[in-house]
Amino acid sequence: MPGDWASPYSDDATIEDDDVLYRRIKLPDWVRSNELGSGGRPQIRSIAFQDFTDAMASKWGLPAPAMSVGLGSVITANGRDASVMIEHHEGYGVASLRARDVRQFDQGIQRYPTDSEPWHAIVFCLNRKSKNDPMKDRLAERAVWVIPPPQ
Amino acid sequence: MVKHPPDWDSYGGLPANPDVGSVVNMFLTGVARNTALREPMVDGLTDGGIQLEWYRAHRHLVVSFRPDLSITAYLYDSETGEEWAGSLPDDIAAVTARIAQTAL
Repeated sequence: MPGDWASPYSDDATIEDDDVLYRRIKLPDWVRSNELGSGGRPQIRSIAFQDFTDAMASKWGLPAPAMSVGLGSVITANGRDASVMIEHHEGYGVASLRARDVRQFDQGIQRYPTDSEPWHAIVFCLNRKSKNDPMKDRLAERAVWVIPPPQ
Repeated sequence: MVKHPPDWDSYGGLPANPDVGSVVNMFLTGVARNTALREPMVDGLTDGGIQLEWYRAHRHLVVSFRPDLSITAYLYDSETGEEWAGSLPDDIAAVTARIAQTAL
């Protein structure tokens, strides 16, 4: 029950509202190829913003579901750009959100660096266990292509 | 989707649960019996569920089938701001009405 959920996560205030969060987008599955948004690019679907499962969270050593992203400021500090998100991942594009976009919908962000991805971070719900359909819809509305599908 | 390899979405996604696939088939067969549905977008969910999705102008309808065999529906109209959520079987009449408004 959303109202009963006590999140084990807390938002990392050192991640600024303007910080960019990058998300891999599976192509063509997670886009509406026949509906073009701004810039003539296909609209990103809400399904691209799912939390991973309890099992996957546990495997990663996380206490609850969350969604993986790449933290733009750390990627830049490492001398890389958004393309690092899809290195070794064929058939994906990259979209971006601002930290404020996710915070606006009761989400928090924490750094969760790995050996191979020091920029890795997670986005999680503060008031329910995992993202519901409205949250995913709103994130999809705000997502902006950084590496769009090839035309 | 049942044959998806583990991590098919690069985020640890599970292949669709075959039982969920059966429920989706029954749902579509039942709903389509009396109505000419447009073909939905059908996707695997990361937890092994399956999602059906229809768009019509500004309306967006999602019906999600979870591995525990629960079914939820969500409608959003980005023009009017109308938002509705329900579950099956409790809200079957309301879900059917939303499907009629969005998926025909």
